[in-house]
Amino acid sequence: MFAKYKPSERRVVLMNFEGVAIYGLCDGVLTQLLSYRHEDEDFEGFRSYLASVPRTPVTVMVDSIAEDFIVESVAHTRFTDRKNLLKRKLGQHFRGAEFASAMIFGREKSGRKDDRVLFSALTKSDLLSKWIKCLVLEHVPIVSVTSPAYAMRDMAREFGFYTAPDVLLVNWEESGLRQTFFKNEKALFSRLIPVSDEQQEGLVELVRVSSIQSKEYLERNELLARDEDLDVHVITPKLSDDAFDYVDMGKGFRTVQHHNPNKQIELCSASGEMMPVTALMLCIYRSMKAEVMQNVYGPASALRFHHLILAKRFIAICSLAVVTLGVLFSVPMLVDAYDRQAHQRQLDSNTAPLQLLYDSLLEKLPKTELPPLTMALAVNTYNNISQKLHRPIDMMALVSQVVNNSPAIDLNAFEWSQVTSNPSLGLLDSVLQSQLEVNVELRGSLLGSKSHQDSYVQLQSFMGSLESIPEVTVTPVRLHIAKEPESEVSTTIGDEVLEAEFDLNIRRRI
Amino acid sequence: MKAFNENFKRTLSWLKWSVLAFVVSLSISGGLLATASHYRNEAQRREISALSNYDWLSDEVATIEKSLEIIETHGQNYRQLVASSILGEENRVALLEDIRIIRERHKLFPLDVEIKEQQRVVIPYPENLQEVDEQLSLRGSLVQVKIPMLHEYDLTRFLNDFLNLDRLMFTNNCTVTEAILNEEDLLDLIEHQVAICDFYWLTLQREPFNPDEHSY
Repeated sequence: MFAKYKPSERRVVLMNFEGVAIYGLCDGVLTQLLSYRHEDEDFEGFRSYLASVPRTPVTVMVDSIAEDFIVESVAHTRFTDRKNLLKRKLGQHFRGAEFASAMIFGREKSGRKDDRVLFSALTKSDLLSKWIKCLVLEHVPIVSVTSPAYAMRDMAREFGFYTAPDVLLVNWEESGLRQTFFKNEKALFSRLIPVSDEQQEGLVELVRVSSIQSKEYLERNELLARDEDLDVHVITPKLSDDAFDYVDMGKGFRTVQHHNPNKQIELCSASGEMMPVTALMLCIYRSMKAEVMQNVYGPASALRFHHLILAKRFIAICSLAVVTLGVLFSVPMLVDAYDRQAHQRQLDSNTAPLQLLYDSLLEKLPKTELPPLTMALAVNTYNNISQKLHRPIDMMALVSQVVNNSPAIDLNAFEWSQVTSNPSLGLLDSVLQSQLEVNVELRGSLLGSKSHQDSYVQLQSFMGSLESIPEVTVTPVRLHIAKEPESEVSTTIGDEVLEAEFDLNIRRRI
Repeated sequence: MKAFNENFKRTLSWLKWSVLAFVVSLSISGGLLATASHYRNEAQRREISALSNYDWLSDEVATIEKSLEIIETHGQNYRQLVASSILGEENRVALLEDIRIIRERHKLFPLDVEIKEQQRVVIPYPENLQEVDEQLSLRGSLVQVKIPMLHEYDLTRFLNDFLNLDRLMFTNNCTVTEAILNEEDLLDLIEHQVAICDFYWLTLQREPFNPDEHSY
């Protein structure tokens, strides 16, 4: 994500046996901007050029004979063990090589299932180091260091060259004829064959012979099965499309096709002259327009400024994210504060008339010696008690009425009391809680009859008359004759008039 | 190690403006957050203050309105309670004087009067009140009156006048018993009956509020 560069910013430095050429896009057309030779003056010139132009990112592609490929099976390991093992192996195969690569491209299908590793390196890299040093000294960000063998992988997919699992790409360049073997779209071998001026004329034959040699090499190194046929795609601007139609490649070649890259893109020089397009130019053009070529050989020290740019971008994005987060978290708080302020203003506007009302009410409120609630308590308590107070006169009047209607009754004692109906409460608590009853004890006697039966009936009649008083319950405490079988009776039956004494209890609920 | 340090310093020098920009953005973001937080807290504090002020005023207005209503409803009755000393201290001397006046008015036999020690019970408020300074207690003193009577009308006349004095008198008990007389005494002007009545003389007293005596 951070490594995106605009197509107009990208540059490719192509190094071959002659020197370096710098390619870029001018108005969408691939253009060779400058070229330098492997000479001290040109190194300085290159540095001056780099110093004079914006430090846009650069990919270095090395088209060199001195690129070795070794495929080996290595014990399968993981993480840091794998990293250390591969590093050790690289050191073993390419001792002291500054630009080396180890890539795992598969696993064996049987046995220990070791990893299949492609080790490659640019073995003669003194000149490359010098050019890269120029770039580093001028603080130019190097995005990747690669070679045609790796660069052509994606280009071949794009142009449909993977017509079989095993494909041999043969491309003609100024530096020579390059043959690259792809197995399942992975480059496993590449070699550059210098082409002399004389050989330029017999290019078809050269391609045929070198392809056969390459096939034999691949079979010897078990990169290609002996019974496996190879598809060959030849990419040159020099030959016609049907150049290989009648060429007998011999056994082991399924098809040979020629492709003219001039038909795909245009290539200009800095002065505007059209230049022949090769497969490498297709790779370079593709890296300008689409994805930048992946880094294969570039060590961390060479890619330092590219990494620093990435770090700067990352820090910039983090800074933006921090500010954005700050704003995102601040905005709800500010909105909340605004809402609260609005609410506070509303409350203040509602409070003003309330304050006026409060002030006017306070003026109206008279000073009382007792707080109003206590005043209400006093009045309510008095009302409550006084409504429940009963007078003995009331009950006396009612009882007197009944007694007056019973002339044989003679009252000796009349005891009236207001008592609590809840024995657990004291009298004052009962008064407060209105749990009272009126209780009357009547003591007297019934005169005028010699018959116990008549006296009893008259007493019952008297008690019945008392019970006709509302809310009253009459309970005989003691009668002249106790009817209950468990009680004792002692009387005289004679000629004298009986005096039937009685004690009655009258309860009235309040 | 030395190479690493040098490399690190070079990297840092390359990234110094980026790092500075990051630190500045952190500061801006932090400042923004702190300011927004402070602003929000301040607004919240003011809002709470305005709300509590409004609530307090609302409560006070409601309380004053309720107090005015109470004063309007109960004010007169309260003044009557104070005037009749129902709310206030007992005046036992005045009570004895009133009994003397009643006896003289109705030409009653000599009366025996006993006034016992006063009892007290706190009158609870109807609800759990937080801001009350005073409480009321119900006080009751037992007043026992022995009334020798010629006839039970003597008791009726006494009770009518005694219970209509401007006092809160709770009649607890009244016992009327016949005196034991010979036949020749029946026409004499001596006591034919005796009434012994117990009354609770109730008064209301103001006291400082004691929360321990109120359980809700």
